Amino acid sequence: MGLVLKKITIKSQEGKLLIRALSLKVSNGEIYSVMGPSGVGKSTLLDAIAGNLSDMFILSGTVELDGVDISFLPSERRRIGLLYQDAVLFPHLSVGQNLAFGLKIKNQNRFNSKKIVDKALWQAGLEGLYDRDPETLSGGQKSRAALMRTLLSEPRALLLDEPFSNLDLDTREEMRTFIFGLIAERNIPVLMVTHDADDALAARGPTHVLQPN
Amino acid sequence: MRIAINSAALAKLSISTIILGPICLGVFATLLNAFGQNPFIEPNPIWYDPTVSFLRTPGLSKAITVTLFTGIMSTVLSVILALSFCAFFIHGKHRSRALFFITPILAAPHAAIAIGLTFLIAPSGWLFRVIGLFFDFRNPPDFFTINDPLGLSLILGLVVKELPFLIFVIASSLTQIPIRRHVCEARALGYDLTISWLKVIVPQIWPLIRLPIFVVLAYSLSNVDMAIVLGPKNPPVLSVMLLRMFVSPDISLMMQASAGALVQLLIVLTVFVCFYFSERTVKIIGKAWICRGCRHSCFSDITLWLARFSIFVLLVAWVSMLLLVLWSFAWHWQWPAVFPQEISTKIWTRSSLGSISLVYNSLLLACAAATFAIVLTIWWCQTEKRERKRSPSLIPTTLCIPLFVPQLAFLFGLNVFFIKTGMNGSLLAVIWAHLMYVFPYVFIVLTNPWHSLEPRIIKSASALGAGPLKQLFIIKIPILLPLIFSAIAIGMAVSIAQFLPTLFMGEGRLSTLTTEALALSSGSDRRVLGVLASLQALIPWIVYLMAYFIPLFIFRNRRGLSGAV
Repeated sequence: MGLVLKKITIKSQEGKLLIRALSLKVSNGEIYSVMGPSGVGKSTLLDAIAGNLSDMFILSGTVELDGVDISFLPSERRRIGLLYQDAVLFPHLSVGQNLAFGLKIKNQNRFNSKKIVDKALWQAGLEGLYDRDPETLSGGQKSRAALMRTLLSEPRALLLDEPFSNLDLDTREEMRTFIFGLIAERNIPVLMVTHDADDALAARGPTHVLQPN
Repeated sequence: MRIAINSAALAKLSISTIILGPICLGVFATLLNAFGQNPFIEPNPIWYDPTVSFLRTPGLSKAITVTLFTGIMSTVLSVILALSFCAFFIHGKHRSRALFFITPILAAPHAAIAIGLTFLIAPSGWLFRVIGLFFDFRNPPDFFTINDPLGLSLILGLVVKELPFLIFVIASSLTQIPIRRHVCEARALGYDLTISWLKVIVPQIWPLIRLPIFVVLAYSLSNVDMAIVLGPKNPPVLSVMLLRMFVSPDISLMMQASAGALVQLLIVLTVFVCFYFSERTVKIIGKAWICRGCRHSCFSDITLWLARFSIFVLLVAWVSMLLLVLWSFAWHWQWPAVFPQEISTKIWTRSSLGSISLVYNSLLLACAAATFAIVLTIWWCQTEKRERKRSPSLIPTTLCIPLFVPQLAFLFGLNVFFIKTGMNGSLLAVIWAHLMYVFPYVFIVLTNPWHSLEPRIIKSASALGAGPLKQLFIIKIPILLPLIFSAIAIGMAVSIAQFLPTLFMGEGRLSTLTTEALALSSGSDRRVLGVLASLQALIPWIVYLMAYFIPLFIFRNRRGLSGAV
C-alpha cells in the first residue's frame, strides 16, 4: 500500500531524457525525499505523479496508489495533494474561502463549512483570518493555509515541492514541525522534492538522489 | 509673475480635450436640439415638443425592445462562448493556433462580416444552396433568415464579430496570472478542468475583461453598420430608426432624432447600471458556489459543448469572409448552384475605377487617424515618464469614453458645431472623428509596454549625454518600433471600419469602402458588394501582415526585437 512509481521515464518532445526508469515506493505515513541539483527534473516528476505533466514531455511507466494504477486518471481524480514552495493561494478568494475551496464534502452548507474551516484555521494558527486577503499573509502563514487547504481535500497522498525553500530559517524550522506533525496524523504517503539536506533529515524517511542524465 | 507650465498636465489636458472635447460639445449640441434649439432651424417654442413627438413615433416601443433584446443577448452569448472557448483552447499548446484562427476575423470590419453573413444565411445564400442539394428547392425558401423581426440574425452577426474580440481580450488577460499552476492546484484538490477554470481562473480575469465587455455591450446596443445589413427592417432597431430620421430630407425630424439619441444614451446607461448590479449578484452567488465544495457538475459538459459551439461560430465567420471573395469573382452564379458557374476577374476590373478613390479615402483617413493617435499617445507617455508618475487608473478609462457613448448621441451635435465653425464636411473633421475611436485602442496597446521599457537603458543613454529628444528618437522609438507598427495596424483597422463618423462629419462628400459597402448592402449586385466588402476586409489584413513583417525585416539581425502583432 502507498504510492508506488514503476519505471517512470520522462523525455522531452525533442527526445532529451530527463528521468530514466525511476522506481520507488512510498509507504503510508512515510515521507520520502527526492533530492538533486536544479534542472534535474524534480518538479517535473511531481507534475507527472500528480497528472499535470505538460504536453512538452512524454511519460512512460506507471504510478500506483494503494495498489491501483492511476497513470491514466486525470489530475483531479487522482486525489493527490500538491504543495508548492510559494504556497499558491487563489488571490480572488479570502484565506477562509481558499480553505473552503479544498473541502472534500460535497455541497457543504454554509454553516458547516465555516465551522470546519474555522477549526482548520485554528489548527494552523490562523484563527480570525477567515476574511483576510491572502496577499497580506506572511510566507509561513501562506504555507500553513495552503497545507490546510490541501488536507481539507482529504488527499490519499501528498506531494511537496520544495515546501520550505521560500522561508527564512526560523520559520522553516517551525513549518517543518507543523507540516510533518500534521502529515504524521494522516498516515498517507508523502513525496517531498527538496534540494536542502536538512529538510530530508527532518523528514526521517528514505531519500533518493536524482542524477542529471 | 512667472507661470510654471507642467508638461504632463499640459499633455493630459490637451489630449483629453482633443478626444473628449468633441463628445462633450456634441452631446451638449444634441441636448439643445432635443429641446428645440437649433441655430439653423426655427426654434421650437415648446421645449419638450421634439421629445413628445419622438415618443409618439410609430413602432418605437418595438424598436426599443428589439434593441435591448439583440444588444443584451448578443453580449451575454459572446461572453459565455468566449469564456467556454478559452477554458479549453486558449492555454497550452492550442493557444497560438487559436489566436491565428481568430486574428483575421478580428481585423475584418463589422460591415464586411455582416455582408458575408448575408451571403451565407440569406434565403438565397450559400447555406440554403447546400441544403437545396438534399431537398430540391426550386426557389429560395420563403424564410426570414436575415432582417427577421426578432433580430436573431443580428444577434448571430454580433456574436460572430464580438466573440473573437472577447477571446483576444481573455487571452491577453490570461498572461497576467499563473494559470497553469492555479489550474494544477485546483485539479490536485479534486476539481475537474472546467470547474477549476470556472471557480479559479474566471473570477481572477473578470476584473480585467469587464471594461471590454462594457464596450461590447455599448456597441451591441447602439451599432448601425450591422443593424442596417442584418437587423429588422420595419420597425428597425433604435439606432437605425434614428439614423433614418437624421438623414431624412424633412429637417424638422432632426430635433426628434436628437431627442431619440438622448433616449438611446439613457437606455445604454440604464443597461450599464443593470449589468453592474447583475454582476454584483452573480459575484455573491458565485462565491457561495465556489466554497460549496462541488467538484463536478453539469457545467463541465455544458462548457465543453459551448466551447465546441464557439468553434462553429468562428467557422461561420470564416465561411462568411470566404463567400465575400467567392462572390467578387462569380461572374455567373444562379440559384440553386452551390458554386459559381463562371469565375472571372471582370467585376474587379470593372469596379476598380470606382474602388480606387474609395480605397484612397479609406487609407488616407486610416493613416492620418493612426498617425495622430500614435503621436498623441507618445506625447502622453513621454511627459508622464518625465514626471515619474504612473497613469492614474481613471485616466485610461476616461479616454475610452468614446467607445461607451452611442455615436448618434454626439455626432449630429458635433456636426452642428462644425457647421458653426465652418469645419463641416472637411477632411480634418472626419479625421478628428475617426481619431476619437482610434486613439483608445492605440493608447491601450502602447502605454504599458512604453512604461515597462527597461529603465536602465534610458539611464545609460542619459549618462552618455542623450537629451530627452535624443532618448525618444534614438532609443525608445526604435526599440518599441514593432509595437508601434502593431498599434498603427490596429488603429488603421479601427478607422477603416468607421461608418457613422464618416457619414456625419463628411456630410456625404467623402465616401469610403465602409460607407459605400453599407449603402449598397440592401438590394445591390452581390458581386460588386463582394468586391467592396472583400477590399474592406483585405486592407486591414494586409496592414496587419505589414506590421508583422516590416519590423521582422528591419530587425532581422536583432533577436530581441521582432514583430509584435
